[in-house]
Amino acid sequence: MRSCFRQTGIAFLAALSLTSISITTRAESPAPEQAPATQTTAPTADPLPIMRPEERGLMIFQQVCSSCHSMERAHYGDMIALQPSATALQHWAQQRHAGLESPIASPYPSVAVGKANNGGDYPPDLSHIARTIRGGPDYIRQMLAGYRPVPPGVTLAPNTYYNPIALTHHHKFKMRPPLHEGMIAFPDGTKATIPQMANDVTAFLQWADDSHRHTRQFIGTAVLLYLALLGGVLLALWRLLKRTT
Amino acid sequence: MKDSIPPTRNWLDTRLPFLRPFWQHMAHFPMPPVNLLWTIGACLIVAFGLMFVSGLFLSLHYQPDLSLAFDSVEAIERRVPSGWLIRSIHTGGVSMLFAALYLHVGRGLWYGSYKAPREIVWLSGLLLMLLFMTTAFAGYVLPWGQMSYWGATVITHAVEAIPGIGHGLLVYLLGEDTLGGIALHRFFILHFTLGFIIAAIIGLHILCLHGTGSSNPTLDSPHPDRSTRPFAPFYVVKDCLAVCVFLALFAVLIFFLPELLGKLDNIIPANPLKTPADITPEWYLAPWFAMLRAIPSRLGGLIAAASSLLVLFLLPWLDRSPRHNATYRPLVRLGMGLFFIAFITLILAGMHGATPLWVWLSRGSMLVWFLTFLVLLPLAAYRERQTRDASTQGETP
Repeated sequence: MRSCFRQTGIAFLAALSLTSISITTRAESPAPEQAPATQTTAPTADPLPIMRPEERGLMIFQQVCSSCHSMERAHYGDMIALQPSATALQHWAQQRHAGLESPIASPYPSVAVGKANNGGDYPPDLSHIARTIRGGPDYIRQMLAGYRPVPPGVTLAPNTYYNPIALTHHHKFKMRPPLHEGMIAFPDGTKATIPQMANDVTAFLQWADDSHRHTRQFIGTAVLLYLALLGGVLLALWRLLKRTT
Repeated sequence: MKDSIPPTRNWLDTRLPFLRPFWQHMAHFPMPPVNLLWTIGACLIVAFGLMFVSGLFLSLHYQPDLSLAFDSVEAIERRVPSGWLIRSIHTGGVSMLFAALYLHVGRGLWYGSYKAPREIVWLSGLLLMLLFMTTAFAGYVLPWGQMSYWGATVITHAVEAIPGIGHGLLVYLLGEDTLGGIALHRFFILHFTLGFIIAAIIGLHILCLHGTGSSNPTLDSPHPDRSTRPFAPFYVVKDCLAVCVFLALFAVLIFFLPELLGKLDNIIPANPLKTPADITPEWYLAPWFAMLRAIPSRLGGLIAAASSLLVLFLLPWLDRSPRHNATYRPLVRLGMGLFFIAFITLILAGMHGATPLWVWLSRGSMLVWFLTFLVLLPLAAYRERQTRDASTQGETP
């Protein structure tokens, strides 16, 4: 329900302000009832804030993924749509020696260092990974929850991990198992199970690839309804004119 | 001269006295009983208008610089307010525009709209098609993704096939040895400027049409209908209705099926050291890409692709039969039908890999293309002129 209001707002803005001089999407994004105070502290007894999967996914990205991966196409400030507290974002960016206007860069100073830290494979940029990786979001979701104990008879090289879902390297997967049960305390009280976190982080990666999906579908529906109405009127007029002129 | 202003005229009419006759001409413009295919022109004007306006707004934020181009497009998508909407109108609009453009040209071919006295309408329309193709190609380079870079590399290097001056011409056009910053800047200027040139030629195209009037599809039928209706209000409403349907399709495409348009490789920044798995053009340029590939010699491919377009310019003189409508010309009906199938085959061939099947299918389609226009059409016209049919001689304007 809440996101419905937000969509309406964005949709109207988008429809009305085809120029770039209007209010930024960023500024109107935070919904008023979304209290940021509990975001950084442990959950309290107050009514828990409702979090969308991509909002929980951002927390996982901040605490887990971004310690190896970059998201170069997005800026720290772009995350204001998921994390309404600019101070919290500023804090996160400063920890990484960046500002709100800087791209979410790789934590490694060079590709060589990145490779050396990850068994020889450089952690790919995550900006559009949900669209570009083979198998898409479904693959990401299953792969993240796909780590298994090494079965007997399989020997793994150092710094490789057993993941039968991962497409690469015939089970010699270089990404350390990123998710662990209960590693994050979500403010909305969601239990941080591995499938839950895999789902949330996938939702976040889809959002990062295509942030306007919900708005787009909302505007699309509005446009089609408007055109259907207009088309009906024109059709009636046309048939009237066909008879009279 | 009377100094007093007649009370019936308004302020603007007095100062621009040609406005009233102009609007009267537009409103009373006599329209023959045309079918729904004649509304596509109006859809094209709307599509072009949307492209023009959305393009202007995009150009405010786009940076034609090697190191900034890709990021500026991402910034439009992510940070410019409504930027994603304007960009999706622009990137989806090009497909809608070309779909309508090819239908419009196909309608002209089927109903013989290229014939006297509408040669200039036809030629200006073909010129517009060439300009649209150039503009679309230049525009596709601008985001500077992998497919932009490699698509442009393949096509610009086709110039190299010209004997003698090829390489020199390529370097002159690109401004340096390879596709780089200078070329990107030039592509931007080309893309931006062509929008205005196209707008002017669209005006010319419509002006030429209003010189002769729309063609009448019923004249060759057993029961020709020579009645006309003024353009307003009947055809205004009909055109608006068609535009409404066109915009609905447009909306479905950009709002609900965006994945149909975006090439995956183009959200990866251009990398001159890494060739993508397969380089495929956008569907609207695919026929000519298929032609370039179907002929083993590079020069041969270039000549074939160029002459496939040039032959269209000769149509008014290749087909001098007084009959217009292919529906009532059995041989032409067959030829045009085959040509439409060949065109669609070429689109598919250009979008698929260069397997022997698609290469041979494109060769067959090219054969159909040239045989239809260079042999079948003149032959049919010759036969029709031999058997004079008084009922369809000439056309009432």
